[in-house]
Amino acid sequence: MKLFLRFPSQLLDKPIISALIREKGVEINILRASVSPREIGEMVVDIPEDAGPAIEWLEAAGVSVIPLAEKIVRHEERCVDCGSCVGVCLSGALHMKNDALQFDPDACFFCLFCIDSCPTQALEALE
Amino acid sequence: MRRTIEQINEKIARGDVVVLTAEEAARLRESEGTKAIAQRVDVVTTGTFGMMCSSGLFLNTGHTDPPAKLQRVFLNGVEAHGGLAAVDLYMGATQASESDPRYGGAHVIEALLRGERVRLSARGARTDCYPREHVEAEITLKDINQAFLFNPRNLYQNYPAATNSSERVLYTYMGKLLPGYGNVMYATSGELSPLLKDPDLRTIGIGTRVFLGGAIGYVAWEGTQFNASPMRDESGLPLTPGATLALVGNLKEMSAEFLRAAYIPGYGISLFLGIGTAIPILDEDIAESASRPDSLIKTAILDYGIPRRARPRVKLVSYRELRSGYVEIMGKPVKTGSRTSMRLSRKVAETLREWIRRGVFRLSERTAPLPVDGQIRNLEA
Repeated sequence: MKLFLRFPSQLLDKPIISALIREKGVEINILRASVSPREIGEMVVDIPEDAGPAIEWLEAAGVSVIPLAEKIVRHEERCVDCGSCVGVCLSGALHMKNDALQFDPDACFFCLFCIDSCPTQALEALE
Repeated sequence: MRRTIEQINEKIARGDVVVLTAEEAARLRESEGTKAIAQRVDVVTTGTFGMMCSSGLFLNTGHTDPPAKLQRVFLNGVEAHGGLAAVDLYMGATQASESDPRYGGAHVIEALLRGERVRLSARGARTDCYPREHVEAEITLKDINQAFLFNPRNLYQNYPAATNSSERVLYTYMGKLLPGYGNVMYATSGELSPLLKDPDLRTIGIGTRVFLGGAIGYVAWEGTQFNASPMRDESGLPLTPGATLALVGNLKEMSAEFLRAAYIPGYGISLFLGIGTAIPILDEDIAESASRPDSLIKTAILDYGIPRRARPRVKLVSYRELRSGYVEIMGKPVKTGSRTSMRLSRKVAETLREWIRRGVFRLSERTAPLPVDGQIRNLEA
């Protein structure tokens, strides 16, 4: 399961993820980690489907946990199914099925290459 | 088996015409061969839905009282060309708004088509004929006199695919090209693509009726940058940009499903248009070209990493390879992406097929042929 994690600035110098791994013994794949200009830590991780306690642990530690599927919005009424985004989606999350665009949020690594590839502005990454 | 357009139109009138889309024809050819197409099929319809920058709208707003000469004219903040008679305007699709580079002529055309009110702001020289200097008004498609697309260049006959050998992301009209041959973008509907299905332009010319933006349109002229002498493969298909068409059609009859404004980040505004043609299967040669499948239609992949007029060619590929999702470059699989909507290209061809079956679209003899020789010239500067 892909999650988008947001760390408030007071947590930036704390080893949250390593504490989580030690305490909960959960397997975490970190796909992306950065600090925004507003000093908010942002991380995209892949964790097992049954890692509910890990999510509760993160939230109790003050980290916001947002499923990645809710971060990328596809405005279907604007999409013409051209495939411009498919050509820049290295994860394969955006792909064609019977010539119609599909989005599989579990494959996405939130690189955001797709957002400015769309000629009809049908893809949006929510803040 | 030979047919004439007149015979086909008689069958349309009787309601027993046999029409297939170019995709359906390609599948029939794969199972039964081109002879079967020539024998059984009267018409093959094509379709494409892609971005066509060289498009625009002529419109006549009607006169104010007292009248004015609309010389510097803005529609929703996008400059239209007013260098015509007093209230004749041309709104070019790629013209960008002065306040928002993501909004342009194509958006104004789409807004009009959707029935939205568009703000007109104009000024012109005061003359005895046109005493008023300024006009601020709102126009809608149904309230203006004429509104017809006149597109100087649509329907490129084949278009090269694009890749990027450089070390930075390129923002091009072919889309976002990732560095180090990171992807390949292509832009035709392959086996559905209108001018690839009649490569010698035997059945299309000036005056030919076509599908344009959901309405019936016409070929007005050869398109700009028309190239009658492209490089061709052994079967005569152009491998480099060949013919183009200038098309005309009534915006008031079009549908927003087949006309959509586009903004390409880092490049500018363009216009997605759905266009289709009906190819009369006059003989076996035309049956052969009209039914040619993606596997037999090739294009070049050019390297946009080299910013020159003549971009180096990386390799030739078939549309079947491009549509598989990957092509091989330097021994590695490289992801492909289309700039043309196959779903809407197919819908154009299917809609045109139904128009012909229902008898609302008759085939037309061309009034004059398109050029058969000549090459495009460049500007040395």
